Amino acid sequence: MASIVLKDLRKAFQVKRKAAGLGGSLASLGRPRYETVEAVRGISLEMESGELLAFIGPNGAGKSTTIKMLTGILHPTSGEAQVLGFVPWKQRRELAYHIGSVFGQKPQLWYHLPPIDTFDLFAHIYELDRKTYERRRDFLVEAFDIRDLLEVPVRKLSLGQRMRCEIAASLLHHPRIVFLDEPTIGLDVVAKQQLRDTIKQLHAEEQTTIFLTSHDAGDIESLCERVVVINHGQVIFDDAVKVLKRRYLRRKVIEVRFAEPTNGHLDLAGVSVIKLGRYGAKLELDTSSRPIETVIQDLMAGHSIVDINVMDPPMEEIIRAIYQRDSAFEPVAEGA
Amino acid sequence: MGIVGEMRFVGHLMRLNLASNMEYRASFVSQIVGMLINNGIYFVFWLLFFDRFQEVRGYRIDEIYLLFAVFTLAFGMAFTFAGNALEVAGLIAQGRLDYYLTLPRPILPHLIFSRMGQSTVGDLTFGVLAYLFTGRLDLVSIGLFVAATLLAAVIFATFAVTTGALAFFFGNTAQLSSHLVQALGSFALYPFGLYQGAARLILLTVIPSAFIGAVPVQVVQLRDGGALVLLAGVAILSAIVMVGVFRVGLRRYESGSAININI
Amino acid sequence: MDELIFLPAPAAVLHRRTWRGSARKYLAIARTNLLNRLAYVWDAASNVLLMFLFIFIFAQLWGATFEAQGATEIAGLTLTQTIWYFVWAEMIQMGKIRHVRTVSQEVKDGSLAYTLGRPYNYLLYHFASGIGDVLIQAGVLLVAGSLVAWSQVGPLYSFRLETLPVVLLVTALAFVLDFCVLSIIALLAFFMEDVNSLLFIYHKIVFVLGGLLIPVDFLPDWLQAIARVLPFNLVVYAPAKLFVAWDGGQAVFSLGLQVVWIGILAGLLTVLYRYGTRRLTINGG
Repeated sequence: MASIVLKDLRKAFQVKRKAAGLGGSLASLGRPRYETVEAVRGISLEMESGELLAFIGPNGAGKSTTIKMLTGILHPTSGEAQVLGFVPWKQRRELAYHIGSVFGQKPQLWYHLPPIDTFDLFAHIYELDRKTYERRRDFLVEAFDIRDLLEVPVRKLSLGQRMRCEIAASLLHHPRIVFLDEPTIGLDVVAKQQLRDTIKQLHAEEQTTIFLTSHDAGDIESLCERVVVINHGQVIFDDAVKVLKRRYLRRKVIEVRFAEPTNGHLDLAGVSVIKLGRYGAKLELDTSSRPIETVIQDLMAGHSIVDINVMDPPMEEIIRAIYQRDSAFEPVAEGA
Repeated sequence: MGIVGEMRFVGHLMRLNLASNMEYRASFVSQIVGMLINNGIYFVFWLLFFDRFQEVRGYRIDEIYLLFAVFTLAFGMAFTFAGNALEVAGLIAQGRLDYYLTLPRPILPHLIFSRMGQSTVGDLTFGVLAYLFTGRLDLVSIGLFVAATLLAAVIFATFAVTTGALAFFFGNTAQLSSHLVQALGSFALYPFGLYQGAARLILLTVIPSAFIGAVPVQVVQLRDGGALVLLAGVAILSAIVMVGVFRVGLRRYESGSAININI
Repeated sequence: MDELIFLPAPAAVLHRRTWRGSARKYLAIARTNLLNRLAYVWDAASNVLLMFLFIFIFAQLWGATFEAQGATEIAGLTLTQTIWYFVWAEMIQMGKIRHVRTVSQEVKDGSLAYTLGRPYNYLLYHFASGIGDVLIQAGVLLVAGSLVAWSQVGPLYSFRLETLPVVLLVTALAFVLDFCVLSIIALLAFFMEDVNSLLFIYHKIVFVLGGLLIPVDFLPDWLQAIARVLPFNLVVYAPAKLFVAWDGGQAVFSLGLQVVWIGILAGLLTVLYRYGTRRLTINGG
């Protein structure tokens, strides 16, 4: 059953423009110049219930705007959308009982109060009866490992701790769909992975439909089955994560620092050297030709290593690759 | 969920607010004292004024006591409980309605009652004290005073929300909205007899200052039941206008990506 | 607009600490803030609204009062002078530099420490950025207030154009004096949790003893005596009164007092700033 359907959804904003300098200010005072910025330019999409979908794209691609239309926060300029059979901006309240949402940049937890107080408030907001609520809360507290944080004022929590509490709060009412907008933004590597694991586990256990936006390729790789890439308000890729990985996430960059100076050259099969210094190197690797583990093993066998860092290509590069592929005359040969 | 359920929910919000305010008890107290001083100063002005001039357009110091009692108590009630009513423009402009929009509650009461005023508790106190000074301690007077002041508080709060909702249409109007509320209050704090012609008309309609000052004073002073009914009508009307403006505005809401916190 | 005048000087010039260099720097600060101000059309518009409102109400109140007294003059002021007095007084009050919140916040959260490394004087920075506001605000407010006053009580015949430079000087010093008081209040955040209440009390004292709500001349004699020895009347009353009723002797007297008070307060401010920042660098933010 489709739980989310979008048809040619569009959203345009009016943005005021002003020329530089005092002259510009005075001119815009008299007759302000407006420019229409199309944040979302005709997105069509269907999502089955129980799916875990990643909605990715660079900053300003229209991810948040889309999610805000799907949760009833924004009215679209044109187009249609249904979430669980509701039109979000028309049936906001009915829909709200069945969905949960977390906006990475807009905390829902009350800043000066401990999370437990916001949880209690949410129980009232969603009209949960005391017993059901407490059972659910205790379950989530375990799942997100936040028992020790419950009674600490939110302002004293770290970003990672806060985000775990935010997500737990959004799940109190057993939503059928959860929208997570940039949940890992600003988190360090460990906190990110911890959060991803929890989300994954929860999805596995409860088959909640999860709609997640991110501009971090790592989120998608470790979390999702299906990925939709948008850029400039349009869908430019919609397929399984496997496909995205095979086509565009094959490349990894390895940064390595050595304890002793190298002898000036570094030879590893299937790996190209981008930069090589006396104490460090930057390498590039195509994971379809050679698994990353074996490269690291080789490196460690031949050198004593102080630090090693494996990175995904940045979002912008994936998008560039998608465009290139689409416009290429000859089909790119797909690796196994 | 019926009216009772909504009331219970608002009650819960208020308890939560009180808890949040109590986190900063010291500034809570100093703000209250500050407000007492603030109102006191205006009061001193009138004392000095009437000390020298005795009467202006039918108002003497007695009427001023009553006017201050009505006004500060109405203001205090309105913005102690509906603490967010004064913040609506800013909340809209900064995209902070998102939180309320994702939750299954009627947005206006949820939004308005999600914060409690602190300094306004000082106005509450001042209003009660000022009323004691009027010496009208019989039950009828007190009953009329409470009823008229409650209605005035409703008009005050709804006006604040309506002007705040202008931000849906004109961008960040925080200062304009707060100045409009200030205008509403400033006009109300002077004897209504000062205004003539067009000014009088404006203060009975667009900026309904008459209904948060002069009319409630008249209700208590003259035991004027008709004026009380009029006051109730205006309160209902301004609530309708508020809901209408807010509904239309919400369609134009643009969210925005500022980083927000629930204080 | 000549864009070239205020272009930032090349780095080499800036590093040499010439007087012109630093003047230019603060001019640039003032100019940027002025531009920033213009972006907020609605804010400016709403200040105008408030000015209309106040002058209108005062015109009604004092019109009715003069009428009830059957007098053409109260304590030496005509109705026309009284209303124009309020135009000038409200212009000063509403045009004020508003930096207390920012400064006290920076003191409290310790971010003041970061500004210490920047190549400008912290307080002068705030003064310069505030002046940008003041020029625009005061200009617009004066026009707005004059419109209402003119329509209600007619032109101010007692005004003498040749006195304008001195009136403006007294007004400028009033802004400086006010800025000093506000800065002291803001820096007291080094010692107190909440300086807002102090700010509040200062404003309220200015309301009555500074002559904002009622000209000092209208106060009972005993209160007048107090108001005239305190510095608060130098912030609002002194310039506004000179504007409507010129008095050479009074002008010299006010100027002198203003200079003395600014000296005292600026000294106090410097001591407070030095003490506070030393504490900040020793204890960390």
